[in-house]
Amino acid sequence: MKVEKVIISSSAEYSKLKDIRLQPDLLFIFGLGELISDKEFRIAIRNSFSDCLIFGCSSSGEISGLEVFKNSISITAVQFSSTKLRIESVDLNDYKTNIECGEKLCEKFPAKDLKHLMVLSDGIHINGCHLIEGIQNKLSKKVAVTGGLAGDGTRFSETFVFTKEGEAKNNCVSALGFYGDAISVGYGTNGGWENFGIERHVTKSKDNVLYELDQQPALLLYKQFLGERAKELPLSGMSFPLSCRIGDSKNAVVRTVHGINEADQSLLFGGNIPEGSYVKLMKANVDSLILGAELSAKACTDMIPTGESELAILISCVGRKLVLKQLVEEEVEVVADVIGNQAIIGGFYSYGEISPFTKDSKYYLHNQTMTITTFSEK
Amino acid sequence: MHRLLKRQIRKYLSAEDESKFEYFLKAVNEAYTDYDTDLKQHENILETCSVELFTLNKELQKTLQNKTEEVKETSSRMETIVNSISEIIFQTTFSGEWLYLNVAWTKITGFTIDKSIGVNAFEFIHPDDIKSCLLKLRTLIEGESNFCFIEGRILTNSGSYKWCEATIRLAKERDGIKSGFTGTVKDITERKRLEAEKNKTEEKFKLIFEKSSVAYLITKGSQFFECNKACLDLFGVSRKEDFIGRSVADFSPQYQPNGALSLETARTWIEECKTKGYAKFDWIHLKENGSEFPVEIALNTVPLMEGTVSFVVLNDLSERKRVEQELIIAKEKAENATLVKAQFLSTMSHEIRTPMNAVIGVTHLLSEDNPREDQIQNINILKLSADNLMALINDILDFSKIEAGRVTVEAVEFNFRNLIQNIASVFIPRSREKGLDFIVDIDPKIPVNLIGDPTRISQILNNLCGNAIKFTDKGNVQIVVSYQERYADKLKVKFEIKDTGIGIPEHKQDEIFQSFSQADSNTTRLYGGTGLGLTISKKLIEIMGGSIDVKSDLEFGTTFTFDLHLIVSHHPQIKLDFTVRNYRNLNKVKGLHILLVEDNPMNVLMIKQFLKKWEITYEIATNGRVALEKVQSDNFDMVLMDLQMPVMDGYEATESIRSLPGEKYQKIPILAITASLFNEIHTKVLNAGMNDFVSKPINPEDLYLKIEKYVH
Repeated sequence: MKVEKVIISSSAEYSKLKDIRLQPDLLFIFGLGELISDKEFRIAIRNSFSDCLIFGCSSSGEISGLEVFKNSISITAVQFSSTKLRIESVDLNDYKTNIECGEKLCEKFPAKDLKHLMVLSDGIHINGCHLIEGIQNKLSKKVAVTGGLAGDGTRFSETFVFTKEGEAKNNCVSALGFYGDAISVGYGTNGGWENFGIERHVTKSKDNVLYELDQQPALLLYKQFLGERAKELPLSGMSFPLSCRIGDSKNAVVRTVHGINEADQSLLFGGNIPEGSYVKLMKANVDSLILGAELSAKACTDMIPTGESELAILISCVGRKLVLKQLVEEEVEVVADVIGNQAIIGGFYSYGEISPFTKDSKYYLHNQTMTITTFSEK
Repeated sequence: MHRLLKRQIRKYLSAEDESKFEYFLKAVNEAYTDYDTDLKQHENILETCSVELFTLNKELQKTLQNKTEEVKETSSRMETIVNSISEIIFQTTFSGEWLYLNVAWTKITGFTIDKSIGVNAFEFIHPDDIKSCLLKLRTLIEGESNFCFIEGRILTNSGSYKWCEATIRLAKERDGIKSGFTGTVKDITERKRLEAEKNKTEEKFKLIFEKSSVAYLITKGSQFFECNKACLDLFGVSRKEDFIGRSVADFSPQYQPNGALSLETARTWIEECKTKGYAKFDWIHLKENGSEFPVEIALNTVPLMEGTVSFVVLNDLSERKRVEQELIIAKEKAENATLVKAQFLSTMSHEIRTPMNAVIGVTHLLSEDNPREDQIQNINILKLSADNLMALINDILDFSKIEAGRVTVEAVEFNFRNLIQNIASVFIPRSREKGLDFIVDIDPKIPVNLIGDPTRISQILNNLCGNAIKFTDKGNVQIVVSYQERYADKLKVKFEIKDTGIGIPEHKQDEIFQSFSQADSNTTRLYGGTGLGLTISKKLIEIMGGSIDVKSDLEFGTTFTFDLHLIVSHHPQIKLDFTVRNYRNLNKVKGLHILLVEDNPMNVLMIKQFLKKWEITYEIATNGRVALEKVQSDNFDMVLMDLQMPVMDGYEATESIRSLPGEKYQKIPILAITASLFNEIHTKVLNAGMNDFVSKPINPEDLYLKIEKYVH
């Protein structure tokens, strides 16, 4: 496996594509929606790499190497020695439900020799949990899935995903399959957020809309804890997610507020919050988030030991970026420290992450995590 | 710019430095501000959390308090419940010391709980019961059973013992370690007493069953299951073993008196008993020696432990059947006697009537033969005595018929007003003779034509009016007939016969309807009469479905009231006309030629005298045969036909005459002369072809009117 990376800061820098000298099989492209959907950019890509696969989406921040950029394009070019790749994409509008969408997407992938699947989805017009449910319905339990939801800065207005044909489009879900025994994949996900206060019972909710906690309007309670920053909702909600635990399960998924509804005092989340589940409010400090990223990286090294991974795709939540601010690159560096400096790092800040908690376990939609997928090829 | 940074810049940096590090300072400022915001945020979280926790803590405290109170309440309630239970609830250590006892302990034993706790339970158990108690407890300890029942005597503080029953379990701690015993103790003294009593009662019932003189048998299906001595005696079996286990069929003849197979009939009864719970019937059984005997059997289904059995009571009917037979014979004898009596009375009356006819007839003849003054008086006495005697005979005849149940009630159409008027016309002259007013009052609502028995109604009214006139010396006698109610064609009519006579004392009012009774024995002497009239009237009214009542006052007189149900006739044509025409047109009958058929010479003599008087010529025939010959040999206008005659009676003679060829034989009026009451024979008379009748004793006026009526 050969990997090269390049960062493009504006439309004037499309020529930097020429800096990539290897013949890539695959380009990971994450960047500002406006740029990646630019016709000129597409032409530039096709001029340089006529038949290379493109897997990527719009972002809320770009990771390249140990640095974090904004309003740029992060390109990671990969040339595999023997691993076979397959990209399939679907349009959300072609299906009645997100579940069906997930099912149809997976049906396009031959099961034989499929090692790993990465999924990128539109970050706004999607119920990530339903999409994953659909994927889980069709995909072999042996295949792990990692990925994320496309971002749009902190605007939440329009996200893009590259189609199979390499065109950045809204309402698109794309998946990248890795085939063959040559490839090894490692993954890990962790937040580093801390619970506070009492555990609350979800007494009324539907899919990703939360209406009541302990029979109290959810928004009212939420605002109480936000204090002055309630004025900045929904943006300030990025920094105050909920942990959601179902029944007796110990593993809690983190859910970020994506919107509010004053009329019915509800909160809109990036993933489902089932009725009857238990939630806790969360807060973070810089150190714990960085520690979280470190734990994610350590999980990866359980699968690909330190110093052996060649490529790492980091998908981190936009909420983390809002909390870490000037220290945001700390969480990238700590990952590099754990997996080793030989690995080329690319990635983006997202509206949601997809990954199993541990090796070979069920994958979920996460919020507020640093989700890492590492690769190495024999 | 952040206050702290501003202060630091002023303190440590020159203006040159400040512009040199502008971007750096900008980043530092941003970080300072963010930290402040984050701090404020965390303070708010802390504050909100502590408020929330404080509130929750308060709620928890409140809940805890509520729960504590609840527990207190529950435990006090449990205490009350436990102490209101009549059974002892206990807990002991493994070695048997009481750990817990409820109030029932004191109630049953009299020992206080305080002094008993800690004492070994075996101290309270009767020494004879300890061993069995220990054996039972061992089964518990060795885990052979989860609980055990122990019956034994428990000491009371009076020193006596009480029978108790204990239910005991092993007590286990929460970790499952056996810690002792727990259970309940029930006072069963009363139950023991009842058991003893029950045994005694059972014994008693067994004795009653065995010693009863009534035969008892318990069967299962058709098999004999148990019986008493009386039963064995009844069947003539000496040993019980020879009887128990055998079946109904062994002791019954093959057929019962009704011809059915004994076995099948028995099965039917057993089935009926099963569904109904009981059955009662007569049966013929066989004794061991093969002789038959009748029994009345009462079967009762009894559910016993061994399954449903039948309790059979056998009642020997041999004696009863014999008595019944005797009674039947006695009854038949008595009935025969009554019949014979009635026949005798009837015959006697007929026999007496015939000479009486002569006496009365001759008296009439004498009185019409211009007798002398001294003779008139004797003739009147003779007439009166003869009439009384005749009335007495008629009453006796009627009475005997009623007694023998041979009275039939007619349902013929008649003119009601004429009937009453007819009666009145008889009594008006008689009342006038005594200086009384005779008043008739008929409700105009009563229809003229009714259906009923006019003869009987006349008889009743004649009797009551006759009595009224007889017992009234001044004032009046009234017949009041009033309309009561009508339902369709059924009409209820009330008759009242009122007089202003001597009245009947209250205590005699019930007696007057009895046979041969009058209000006073003097009455007979003073007023005459048989004392049968009212009895006959009452019976006749009852036979016609009515009832008679009397109201009387010694001062104001007597009123007899009776109701009758009559039918309204829609046919205005009346077959029988009772109108009495009170005129004589001798010219009308003069010169008639009549055939008198009569075997009795006295009657012939009498009738001859009347006919002669009315200038009617006649021939005599002494029986029906002669009459049949004579009627063909001469030209008669009418035939007077006696009914009972030798050789050929009146019916046969009439039928023969009517069947003779020639229209005149069909048309010639034939009048029956009879001593019988007309309503008894009138159908027969009419069927035989006779036109009408004249009753004996011959009343010349009656005879005249009848002859006149049928003259063409």
